[in-house]
Amino acid sequence: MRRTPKLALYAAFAAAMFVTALALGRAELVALGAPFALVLAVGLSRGRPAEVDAVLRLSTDRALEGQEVDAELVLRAPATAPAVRVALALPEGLRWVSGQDSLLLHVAAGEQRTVPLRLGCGRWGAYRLGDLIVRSFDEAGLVVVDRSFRGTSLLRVYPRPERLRKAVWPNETQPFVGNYVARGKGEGIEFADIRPYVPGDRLRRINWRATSLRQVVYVNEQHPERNTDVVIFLDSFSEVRRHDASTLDSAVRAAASLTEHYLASRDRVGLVSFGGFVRWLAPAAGEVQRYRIAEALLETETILSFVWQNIDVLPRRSLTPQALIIALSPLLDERSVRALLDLRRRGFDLVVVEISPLGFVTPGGEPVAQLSRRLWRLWRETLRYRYEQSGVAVVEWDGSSPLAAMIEEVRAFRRFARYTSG
Amino acid sequence: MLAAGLAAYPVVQAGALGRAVLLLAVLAMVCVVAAVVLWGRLAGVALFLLAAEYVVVEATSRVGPLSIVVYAVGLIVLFELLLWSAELPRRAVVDRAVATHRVLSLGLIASAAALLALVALAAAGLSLGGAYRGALIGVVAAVLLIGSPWVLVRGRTRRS
Repeated sequence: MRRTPKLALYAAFAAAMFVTALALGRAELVALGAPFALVLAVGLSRGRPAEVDAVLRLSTDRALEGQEVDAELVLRAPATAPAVRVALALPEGLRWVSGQDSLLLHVAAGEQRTVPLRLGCGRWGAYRLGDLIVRSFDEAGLVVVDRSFRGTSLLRVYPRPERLRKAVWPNETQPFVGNYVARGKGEGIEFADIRPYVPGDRLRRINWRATSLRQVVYVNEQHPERNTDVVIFLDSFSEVRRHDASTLDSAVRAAASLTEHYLASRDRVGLVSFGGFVRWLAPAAGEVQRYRIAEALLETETILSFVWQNIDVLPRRSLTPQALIIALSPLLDERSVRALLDLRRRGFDLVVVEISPLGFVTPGGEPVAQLSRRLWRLWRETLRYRYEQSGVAVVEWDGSSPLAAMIEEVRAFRRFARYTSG
Repeated sequence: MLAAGLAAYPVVQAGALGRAVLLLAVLAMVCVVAAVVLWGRLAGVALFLLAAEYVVVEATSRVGPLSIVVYAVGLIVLFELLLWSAELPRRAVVDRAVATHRVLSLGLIASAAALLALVALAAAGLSLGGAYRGALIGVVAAVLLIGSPWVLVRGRTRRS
């Protein structure tokens, strides 16, 4: 409990008026200070301010970006609290839809007061909510009781995935059933070839036209439908941030969209977060993997580190052979640039989505700043050329345009590369 | 507006000391505006400046008893409002019950202040039967009036 400046001010003023009245011999001046002394006397005799308990409860602990979440602030006081000021701290990434950071409430004795609130989820992440500071005033505002409460409500806001109709097709497939037409031959729907009949072939596969032309029994061969392993490679060494958007935010949203699409296509998806803190998830399919990847994406953050990292730190099972690796990177850190080139040299099927940092940097007006920007752009074009020379599809994406357009560019590059190499 | 009225009244009544009182009035208004904008800072200075204006006028020329009552009520109402507004953050949701309670409290305080000021004025007009007796009663009254809030504060601090 502590005294407010009002108490000291009123006491000093009342005393000053009484002393002035005595000194000047003007008893009427007591009338100026008497009301202040009265407020002091009445206020202090009314007892200590009530100690108020407060807790913030959420209607749900999971939400998507852009969704609104209902919450309620519950207050309880053993005695009447005429004025209770509640300060709620919202982490960056969340905003008030209805409600404010500060509330001034009245709580009756023994009453449970519930205040409905509504939060807007602006950015993905895991947030701990409920840190409160409660200040209870007495009747006259002379004495206050401050209490703080540590929040225990956890809100997980997942990145909102963009719906993709097509994604990057892999060069190689895995031996499990999926949606991609494999290059090999076996049981399937897509026609591949014909060959002479051997004992054991099914009679329904006989190609009667070819058989009648050649007078030898021929059977059809098909391309089987197989799935693929996809590894989302997230570069978390560095990011460029502007206001409330950053290259890492765009990368995480793209990762969530690609994961949704590939898992829905019965592919196995893994995740590698390559940065100051390396973490990985081996490729797997199904709902459980979707939640694992979603939780891992929530924990993605840029951690400053000067330790040299290369892909040798990753276990073999995180990068399965013949997996399609889609790297989401701003290509700012030399470690991630070299790691990706190393992946290509090891024969992995690699696609690089460059989350362009240019849009997040305000161009300077001075000639030196403009020259620096042009040199920077030139350097980045050179980097892209290095990847293209290695046969890696590199696409520049600004983070705000539709992901589908970027995917289409990648597909076009890989088609063109296949035709020129074939 | 209340602050402007409280600052202007002594200037009007000051007569020969008008310029000095005007200076106090201007300073007081600046401090009141600062208190509104800066969450109560300089509120104490504003209170003492406004009181000083009135004391100068009261000491140099007799003003009517009603003006003391009105001025006392005006001072307490102004500073209750100023100090309450200092507790409010810039953006806050305020309960209707809190606002109603505060308006009612303000009315009660204003009424009680007027009554107490009248009682103080009436007591000032009493004949106390001699200078020594008057001085003794005055000292006892001053000690009681100044000391009782202090005792109450000490008692509350010990209990907490």
